[in-house]
Amino acid sequence: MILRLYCAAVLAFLSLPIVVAVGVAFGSDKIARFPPTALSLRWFGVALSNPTFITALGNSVVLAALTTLLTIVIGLPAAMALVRHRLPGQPVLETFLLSPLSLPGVLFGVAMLFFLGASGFGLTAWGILAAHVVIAVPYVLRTTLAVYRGLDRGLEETAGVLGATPWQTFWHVTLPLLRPGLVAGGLFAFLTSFDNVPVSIFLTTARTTTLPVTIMSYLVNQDFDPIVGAISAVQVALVLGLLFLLDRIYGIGQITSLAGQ
Amino acid sequence: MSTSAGGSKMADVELRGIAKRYGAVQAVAALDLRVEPGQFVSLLGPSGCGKTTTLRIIAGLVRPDAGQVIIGGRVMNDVPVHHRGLGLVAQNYALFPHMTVMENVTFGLRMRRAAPADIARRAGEALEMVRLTGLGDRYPRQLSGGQQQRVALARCLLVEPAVLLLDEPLGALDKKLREAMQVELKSLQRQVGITAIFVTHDQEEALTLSDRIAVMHQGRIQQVGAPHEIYETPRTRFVAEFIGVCNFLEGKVIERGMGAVTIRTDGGALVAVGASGQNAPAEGVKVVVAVRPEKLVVGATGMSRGTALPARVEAVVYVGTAVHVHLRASTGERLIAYRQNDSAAPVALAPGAEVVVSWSPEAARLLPEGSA
Repeated sequence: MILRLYCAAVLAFLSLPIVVAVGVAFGSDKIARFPPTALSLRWFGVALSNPTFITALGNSVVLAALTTLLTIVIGLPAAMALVRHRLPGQPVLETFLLSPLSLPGVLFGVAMLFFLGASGFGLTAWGILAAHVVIAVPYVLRTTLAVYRGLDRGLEETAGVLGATPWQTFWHVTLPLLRPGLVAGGLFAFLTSFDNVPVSIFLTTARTTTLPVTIMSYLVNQDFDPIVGAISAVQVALVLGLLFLLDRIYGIGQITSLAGQ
Repeated sequence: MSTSAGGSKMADVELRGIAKRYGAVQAVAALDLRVEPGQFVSLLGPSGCGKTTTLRIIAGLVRPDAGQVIIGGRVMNDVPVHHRGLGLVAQNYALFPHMTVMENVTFGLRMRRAAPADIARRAGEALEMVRLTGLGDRYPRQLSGGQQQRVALARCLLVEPAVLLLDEPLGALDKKLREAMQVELKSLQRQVGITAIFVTHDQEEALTLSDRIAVMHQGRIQQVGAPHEIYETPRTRFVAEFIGVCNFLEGKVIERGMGAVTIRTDGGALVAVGASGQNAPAEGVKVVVAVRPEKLVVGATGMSRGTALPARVEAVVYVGTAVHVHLRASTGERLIAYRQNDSAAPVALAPGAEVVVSWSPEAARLLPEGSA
């Protein structure tokens, strides 16, 4: 009973701010008010016809998608090497690859800004992508490592004895069995990129700005009005849609249980 | 039974001077072994004796430091695992959890890009052979242990391996099921006529299944032979001790007679052991006399020939099919005797009873002293 009350309280604590932020978007007032006095979708129209927001939203989606792809391309072979091969300094390497998790985002953003400037790369979309990949790789790596370490080595060996080439073994045995880890890690990589402010804020320009950065600067310059609520609602809807899709395909329980490992 | 579901290509296996070291541990040392085509050979030994490493070297999963692996007359050392054409059943079966029974069974053929019609026909035959017809759409987790085991076997046999490698495949099953699977495994192997190498630490399993047994200890083969040879004429104390139960009496040769040697045990008892004159050790040599408990006769008087030691019954253990009598000879040696439970009064002996324990010279074996 107490546990149930506690859970309800925690859930309320977690979700109420989102309810408020999204709720104001459905009001008709010019200033943000919760609960709204009258319901209207007019602010969605305003927000979605604002080219700044739309560009930022597009940038964020593309950036998060590319980040997810690249983190898997980097994280999967890294996990395989760490689990199945005897590497010199293996624990050090693993800690190093996971270290961006413990680095303050602001610090990494500043460092990346200096690096891109000093190395002559400049502030391009590729620089942001690289930064996001660095901070997102640990998520894919951790979940994939967890799944791979729990996987019986005998499965891959048996596949080999039965005549599968190393590539066939990877494609037909290893990869399908690692998929839960990759999906869970990929989801977290996507969300990490899609929500990121502290790193992106140092690296984006007007052309390459992301949605969270745009919302942030809008809040700094304008104030909290229903337009921000509306675009936030769009962002939340996109994330929920993604989660729903993954749940239908893989079952969310499996993914969240892995993320806890 | 068509030959297409099971291999008709019997191959012999030869290991020459195989050695493998892991850090400070010599897992396998200078190991030689010959397995004839179609034979069922067990590698038997305690855990850590190198039997699994040997199997993995044959499979190609472990590269030996030295020596040659020859299968079907071909040196396999540099042939990668997926080109060796072998079958492996692991202790936990290693069924692919994301594939159905049918997909598991056909895995090898699919990887070889066999014709789909051919795959379907042979898979049907293989499933029938292991009595799993109709379960093709199940996933491994929906099967019992025995069924999983048979899927693993069918998956192996479908690729017509030159040699079937079995790594304690019955270890995870309970006793009743294990005995049933032993019979099934053996008849399958005969039916298919495949060479099989079987790793186990269970001596009973090895005795039941094998044409020949290689007893391993500390990376070396102690003795290779048919089950009855290993049991009746062990060459070392380790083999005698590992296979079944054995009484050991340590002593010195004091006389070499016609067809028999007399030994005085360290306790002072005189023991006669059958041995032909040439092979018998010289007088004064320290030896170990080994005699199986079922060869001992416990009674009021001893046998007319052979060894007869006065002894006191220390304990009598009733085990159903037999009675185990624990004895201490008047010269101090401890002995255990098995008495078949076929008499009217199975536990006629009581602790404390004074008896004579005797055995014939042919029942005992002379083993070199200190052979571990």
